[in-house]
Amino acid sequence: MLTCQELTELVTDYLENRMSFMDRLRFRVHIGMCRHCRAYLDQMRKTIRTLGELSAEPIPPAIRDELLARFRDWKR
Amino acid sequence: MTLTDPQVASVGLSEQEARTKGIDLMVSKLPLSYVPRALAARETRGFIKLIADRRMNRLVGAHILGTEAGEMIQEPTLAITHGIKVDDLAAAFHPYLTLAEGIKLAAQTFTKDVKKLQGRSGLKTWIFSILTNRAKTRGRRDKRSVPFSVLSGLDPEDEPAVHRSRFTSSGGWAPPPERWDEDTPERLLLGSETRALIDHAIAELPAGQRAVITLRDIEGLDLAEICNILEISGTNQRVLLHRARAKIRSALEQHLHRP
Ligand SMILES: [Zn+2]
Repeated sequence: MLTCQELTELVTDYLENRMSFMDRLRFRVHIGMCRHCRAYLDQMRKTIRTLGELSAEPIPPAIRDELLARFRDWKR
Repeated sequence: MTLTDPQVASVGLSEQEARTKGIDLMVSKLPLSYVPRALAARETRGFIKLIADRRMNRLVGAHILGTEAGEMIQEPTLAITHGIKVDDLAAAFHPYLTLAEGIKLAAQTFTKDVKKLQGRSGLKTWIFSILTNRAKTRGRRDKRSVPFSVLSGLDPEDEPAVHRSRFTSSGGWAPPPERWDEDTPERLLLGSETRALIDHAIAELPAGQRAVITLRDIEGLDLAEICNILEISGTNQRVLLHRARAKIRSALEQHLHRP
């Protein structure tokens, strides 16, 4: 079984949905049984939420799309 | 100021006048195509030219050609009138994606050679460094931009997500993480002290980690977009993101549970 220490290294892949079905299952089984890792996962989610609210000056979507389009152009 | 299209706006000495006065000059000329706001608005005709007294580290003249030159000249005008140092101008907070940011970038260009940033990749690097330095520029002084080469490099010596001392030899928690209240993020962001702490924690990250966490968690870009921009693999990106997030969490934990 996955240890708590191993789980902490998998949290980003879990949150970003980059896990195989079986790994995801193992992760969820551990989380279901271990309240400490649930607390850790929850802390991580809150950390990300905090960062998301940090942007004092969010880029207006239109400008962001424009910049991204330009980044894509530069690839060619 | 002359109402042409694009506008021309000038304040203080011209380069010629300054030279005649025998001032030891620094000249910075930044094409508007290097200013993100101008790029985004597809109005890149023109430039910002700043002239400074090297010894005094003060602006003596500013000349702007661009659609909003009349607006942009206000800040250099103030800087000249009040003798604001070039370094302070370069470090001052300017809202991102405004033309005013161009003044800051031009002030930074005194020490960076924008002409070396030629071609597509140069422009990209430039804008990218602006993007990724955002976290750092909130109230802090720019120290360096981020070279692309740094980004792909993963440091194998980097510490694990959670320090080993937090686990027993069999990999279980000891001591375990505490539960954070539902409104923890909101509470954290209320205080300017905590904000500064988070800014500091982000600023302390290695360049690659800082770039990825800024683009992903602060700016909210897709993983695929970030891979594209930074030209790194999805795996590298997730490792960088993982380490960056873990360090920020750890900084918040220390802050929240300090005795
Ligand atoms: Zn566990």
